Amino acid sequence: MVSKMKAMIKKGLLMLSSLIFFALSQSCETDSFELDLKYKGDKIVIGGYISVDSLHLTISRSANLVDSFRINDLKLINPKVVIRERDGAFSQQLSSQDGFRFIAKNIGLQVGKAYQIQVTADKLAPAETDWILIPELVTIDSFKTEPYRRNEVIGHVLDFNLKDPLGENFYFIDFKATLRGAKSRNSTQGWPFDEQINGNCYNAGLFDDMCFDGKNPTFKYVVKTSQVFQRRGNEEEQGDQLIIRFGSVSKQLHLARSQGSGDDIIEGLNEPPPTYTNVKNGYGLVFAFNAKDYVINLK
Amino acid sequence: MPKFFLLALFWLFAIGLFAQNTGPRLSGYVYDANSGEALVGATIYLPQLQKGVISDNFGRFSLLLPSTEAVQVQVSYVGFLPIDTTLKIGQNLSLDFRLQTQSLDEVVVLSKTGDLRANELNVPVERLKAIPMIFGQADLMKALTFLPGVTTGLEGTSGFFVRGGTPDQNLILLDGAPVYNASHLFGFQSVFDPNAIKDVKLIKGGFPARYGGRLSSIVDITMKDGNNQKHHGEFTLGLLNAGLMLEGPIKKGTSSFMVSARSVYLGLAMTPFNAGWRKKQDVPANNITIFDVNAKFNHQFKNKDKLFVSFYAGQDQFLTRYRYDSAFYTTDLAWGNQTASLRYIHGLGGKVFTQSLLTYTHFFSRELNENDFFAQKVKGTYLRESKVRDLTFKQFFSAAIGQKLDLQSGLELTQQYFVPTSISLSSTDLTLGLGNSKSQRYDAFSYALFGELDWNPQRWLNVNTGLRLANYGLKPVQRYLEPRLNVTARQGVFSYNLAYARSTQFVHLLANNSLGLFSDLWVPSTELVRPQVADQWSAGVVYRKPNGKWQASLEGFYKILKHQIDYRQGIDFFNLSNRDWQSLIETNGLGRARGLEAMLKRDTEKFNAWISYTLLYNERKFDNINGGNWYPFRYERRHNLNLNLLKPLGNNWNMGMNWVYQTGAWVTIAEAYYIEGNSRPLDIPTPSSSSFSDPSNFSPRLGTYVGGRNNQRLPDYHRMDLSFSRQYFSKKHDGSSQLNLGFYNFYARHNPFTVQFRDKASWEEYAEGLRYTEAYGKALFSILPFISFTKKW
Repeated sequence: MVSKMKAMIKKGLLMLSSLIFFALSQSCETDSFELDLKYKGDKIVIGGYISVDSLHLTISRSANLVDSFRINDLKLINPKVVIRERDGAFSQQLSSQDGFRFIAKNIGLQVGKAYQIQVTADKLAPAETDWILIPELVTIDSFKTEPYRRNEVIGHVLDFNLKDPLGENFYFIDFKATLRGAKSRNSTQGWPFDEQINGNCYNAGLFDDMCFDGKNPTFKYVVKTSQVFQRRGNEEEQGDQLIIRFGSVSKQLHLARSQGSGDDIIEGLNEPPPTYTNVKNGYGLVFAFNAKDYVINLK
Repeated sequence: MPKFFLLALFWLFAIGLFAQNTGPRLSGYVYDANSGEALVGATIYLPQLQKGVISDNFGRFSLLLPSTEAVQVQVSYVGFLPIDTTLKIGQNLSLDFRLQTQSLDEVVVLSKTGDLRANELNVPVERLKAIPMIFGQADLMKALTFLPGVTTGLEGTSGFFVRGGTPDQNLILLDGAPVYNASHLFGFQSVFDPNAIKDVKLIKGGFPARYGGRLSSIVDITMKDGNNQKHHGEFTLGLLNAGLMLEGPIKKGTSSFMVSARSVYLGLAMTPFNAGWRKKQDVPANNITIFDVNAKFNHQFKNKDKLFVSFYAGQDQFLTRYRYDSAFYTTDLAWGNQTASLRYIHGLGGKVFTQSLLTYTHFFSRELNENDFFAQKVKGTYLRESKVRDLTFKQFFSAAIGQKLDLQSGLELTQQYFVPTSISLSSTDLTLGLGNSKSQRYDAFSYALFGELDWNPQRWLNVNTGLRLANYGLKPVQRYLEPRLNVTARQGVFSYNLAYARSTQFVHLLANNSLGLFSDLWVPSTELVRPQVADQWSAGVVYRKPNGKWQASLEGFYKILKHQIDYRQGIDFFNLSNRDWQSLIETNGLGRARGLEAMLKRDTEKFNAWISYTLLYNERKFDNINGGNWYPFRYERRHNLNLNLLKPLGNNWNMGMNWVYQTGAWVTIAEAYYIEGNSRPLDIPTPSSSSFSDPSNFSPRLGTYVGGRNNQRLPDYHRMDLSFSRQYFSKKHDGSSQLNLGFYNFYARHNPFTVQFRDKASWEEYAEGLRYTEAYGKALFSILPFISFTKKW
């Protein structure tokens, strides 16, 4: 009787295990199948920036995400590119060396004025940017530096005051250390000295003035130089310099950065944020900036 | 606060005053004669007056009698033999009706009577249990998604969306206690054990004022009271889980109990593999523990007062351990709910009923990571916890005033505490300086007062109106007035309905998707995050053939949602480890949804079927998402069609079938490639960036363009499920067994669960600048057979 029951239980368990195995094997991800994604057709892409003394643009076209193409195929053949000023007589057609990049210097762009880029190309609908305002230059009176050292990291704590004009302003800051006047190929990292104090006010190289509109805030950054000086013993020497570029940018860059960019295709259950564009009937980003370089001798 | 209590006193006084002014009444309960279980939704009808009432969640009813010497009373309930009797009228009559079940071999199908409002659905539990489900496990929550106005998220998940709302906006009550997390196994199964459930009611609009705290729907679930006549048991063995339910009298006819337990035994199946862990400790070990326990006790006092005590606990736990080099790594994920409720019902001479309810709810989720570097004798742990706890007291008063008016009023006090994230790090290596813990705790007190009138000025007209005053303990205290109106007019076989409801919700759910994962965070309203508010208007018509065999309904609705929250773009749950959740979210979002719902039902003993269709437009708007423009809600299923069929095949065989068709869900996917610029797309020409103007230093950077939130639709979703069940009756042992087998996704449709991309270009081609990306979907399930066996005794 006992052996019969044992056999029954054994049989039952075997059946159950087989069923579970079968069910689980079936429940695994099945083979893939192709998806048909909607595409709005090729569009003109305008990328780059404008400033008081220079203009750099790339003009290309988009491609369907699931089409095969070569990157060089995205370059347009001799598109017509015009920059024009809002409420002004200024309008100029830009020329290109290779039909793809449009670089110009000293064409008379002015601070406080808004400009638009218009592009037309064969077989594509014309595209134009929103009006882009070249911002006023906000300068820094002086920088204070103190040596910074923690474990293997050496650098400088940099602090400075900013006189923020009333109204919406957007700033950027970037650092570069050089070896005795020669440009280093390594990048230099800078980060807010104390994130707890700074909060969200300027925890990145690009920030707005929401926390200090119209005031005179003090900024404090740690600038890491050890990566640059590592090649000769991790110490600074006479003639080493720190170059700081500080300036204002137009809102478009801030919006694009805060929204995230489509750097990669994000898949699975995560979803990418929509890409910011200020190009009507096209893609891309064109922004304006106005900056100044400050040089500090480190030793 | 004093004003509030004065108002409360006024309501109580009004009830007492009105309650005096009534004629003789018939009141009592309707029971299943075999089990003593109270019958919810039974009809008590007076043919002379052409007036009837429906028994409530406790089987209770009360109606005014005519001024005649005798009155004919008909009592009916689906699956039971009706009672037709004549009563002599003197003073108030207190009478309980005990209905006998129909013959055992008949299939229990059909819908309940009284479905005259399309926005209130009450499908019998036995009918819901007969719907074929994944893994063969009856699932009442998933069964609700076959009803009009209710849509689902991703394949297999149990989170549901009612009229454009989100899963957190569904007030799921288990014996009056709110349930925060209603799903197991990453959402593949709901937490409600069908063997322990007596009744499920879904309200989608025109909410009665006695309900509050959520915006989109009310799912009122009542556990079985327990058989108070004889002991009874039910055992179910399925592919994934096994369950046992026991019930019986403690004192026959007076008090009873019900206990049920259900567990997923996937962990048990892994035991042989885990044995290696214990022996060698270098074999990966995994364990899954999932269980639900329900218990209920009820007692009826001599004066017919009733006491109910119910309890629920359920948990999911996933444990993974493995060894890599000289360390053991352990991850322990767990989440679950506990609820408890204590309810006392007191009748005052059949005219006034009072109900006191005390509920407790606790939801938690936990993530524990432990790294044991045994060679160095160092152990480090990371523990993240999230908790919500509610303690609620509700006091209800209901009174019938004359023939035409029923009045309900009440008071609700809730003390909540939330810990959205609590993180602690510790290490046996003290030099690391760990041992920190970061915890955010929020205490919230809310209270509400409501009054509800159910008025029948004419035989053909019913007006249910009410007012709910909800208060939330922000400083200063925020008050929200919630008017409710539900008007139903009957004309022949048609019933017309107009409804409006304003609702306020003080809790929010931060979720990246609807999977019901441990990553779901329940957060309170704060000074930054305002309570959610919704306004909903609906209008509908119901047609019912006099014999009840055909029923059709059509209803339209429009809903506005305010103060919605969502993660900021590019932010998700995993950013919470070192940031305040309030700094990572977008607030003050808007939502709008409109739609049309239709349902056609055929109810006969030989054939039971329904077709439901929902047309839905559902959008959201946040200032900093999608450029501030309206965008479609991810699970906006524009067309949602369900066909559900149950047919006896003879010889105690039944066949169940459902076919589901839904427009594909929205996803956000890059739609184009484009050249962003130089190697870094958004860089300003700075000293540290490469020179843009140097032609020799230019390498076009390819970026992907995402046009907007939810910019692509996945392919349409459809599948068919089939089930066959055979019942075996044992007259000798007064019990029965049921074998249930079938197929989920019978024709093996590949419905996309995720979207993925792959490069089709070779390395050589890629180096030469060729780009060729393929988008493809992955489905979670193909055809999935199931089998389960249930034994009742």
